[in-house]
Amino acid sequence: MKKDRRVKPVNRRDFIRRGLHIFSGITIGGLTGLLFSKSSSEEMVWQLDPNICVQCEKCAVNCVLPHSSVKCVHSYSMCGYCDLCSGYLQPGAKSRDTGAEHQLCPSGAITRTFVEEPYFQYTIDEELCIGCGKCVKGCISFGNGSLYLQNRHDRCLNCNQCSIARLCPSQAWKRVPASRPYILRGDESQRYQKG
Amino acid sequence: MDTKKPKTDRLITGLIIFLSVVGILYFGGRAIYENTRRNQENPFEYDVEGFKRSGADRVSHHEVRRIQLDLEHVLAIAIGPNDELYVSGDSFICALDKEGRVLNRIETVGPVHCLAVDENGDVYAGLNDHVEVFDNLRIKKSSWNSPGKEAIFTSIAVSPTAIFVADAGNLVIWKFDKAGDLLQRIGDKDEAKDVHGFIIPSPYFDVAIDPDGFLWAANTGRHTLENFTPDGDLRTAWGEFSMEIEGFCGCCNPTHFIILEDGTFVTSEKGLPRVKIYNRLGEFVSVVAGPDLFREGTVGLDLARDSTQRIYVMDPVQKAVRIFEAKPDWEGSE
Repeated sequence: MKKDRRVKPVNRRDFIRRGLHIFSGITIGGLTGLLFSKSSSEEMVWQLDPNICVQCEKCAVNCVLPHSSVKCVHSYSMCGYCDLCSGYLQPGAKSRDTGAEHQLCPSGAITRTFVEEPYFQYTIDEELCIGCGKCVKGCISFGNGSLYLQNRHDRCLNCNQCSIARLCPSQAWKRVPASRPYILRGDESQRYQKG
Repeated sequence: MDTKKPKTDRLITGLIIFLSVVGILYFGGRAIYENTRRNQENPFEYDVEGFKRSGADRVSHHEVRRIQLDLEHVLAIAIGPNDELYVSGDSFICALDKEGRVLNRIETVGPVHCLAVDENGDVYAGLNDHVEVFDNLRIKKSSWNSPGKEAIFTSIAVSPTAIFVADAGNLVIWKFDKAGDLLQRIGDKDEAKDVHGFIIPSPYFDVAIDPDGFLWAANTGRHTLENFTPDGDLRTAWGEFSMEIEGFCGCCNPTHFIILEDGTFVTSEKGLPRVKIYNRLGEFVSVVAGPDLFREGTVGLDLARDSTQRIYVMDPVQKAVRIFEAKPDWEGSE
């Protein structure tokens, strides 16, 4: 006996029903995949690698915020507590004091405090710091690089396309896990890595 | 009928168009110029270019030879009793002849940050916190005990009877005998004796022995070279801060120094990378190599001298040993 090999014609109702089934399957699968990928991959944020940064001073002006989210931070474990701090004083400063004309910082964001002869402590006022990195350049050129720049996440909007990263001449900006959003120096770095 | 009116209208229209074009060209050009100028000017620029030119008319030496090194990290140099050159880098030390050919090479357990060679050809290598001694770079003779976990050895000076090791971690100089037994700790702060101690903000702390056998050390935070008696008491010191050529620049210089046979000092600095000569009294004499000879970011110019008083400068950025000789026509060479 011969089988009837003729294909049964698909009517419009079946066609729409099957189409809806396939569309629903793809949608549910896609959403499940998206949710799974979101839950398994950590959120990433922007950060400036101080070991690559060349202190071009563009972080101060390229951020979308009115005051850049990039600020100078200080590794106290590395700092030499120098009387003649090349991050605080102008290169040709006539005297080592807190006179505005001797200070390197254009916004006066660094405070110099006497510790004991001949040591001084330097503290960054983040409200005043504009992230120009002028002090960082002075410190890294003549000192040991205890002053460096970091993107502060209490201010950063974490834009998809960071305008500072896009224009960074040394490609020092990278995405880092939100759970470890800073790239620190000195003993602070070791403590930070240990959590 | 007034035929003049259309002519006047055309004149006025033409004038308006002309003025508009001139205005657009003027203001547009000015805006472009201002924008370009604004982009070129950097209000936050850290500028030390003026200081780099200081002393350009006082250059007494010229580079006569350059030995390129096949090393990832060049760390220290020393000259042996027969003018052979010892170089440390990565995790080994090698001896080179005058032409730069490798005579011998030995691996070390870690990076060697400072080197010294005695009159017998024994090589003293300062690893992070201890000294290892090699017999002419053939075999390891001994490995000395570390004075502590905090130690960061940065320089070794050899006298006929003792070895002095600068420790930037503990801010002292350790005096050992040649067997590696610790004899003395030099340079601690002592207010009763008015000894202020070493201030070493960055890990550059050099020591050397002068022709009279006295120990000298670079107190970089004070911008001075300090002289000690054999018992470790401070005898004298000289040096001052200045961004100009006469002094030591930045927070902490000189990073390295050597003493020539006639007792003059050769110093090197960071920040403004420059190599200079001072007489026995600490008075500036001349420039061996100015900042124009080094790339930006050059730090750690280790120095050595051979028996003909040529000055060897280790350039860690260009990964080379650069040899400088006094210019025959230098006015101050007498």
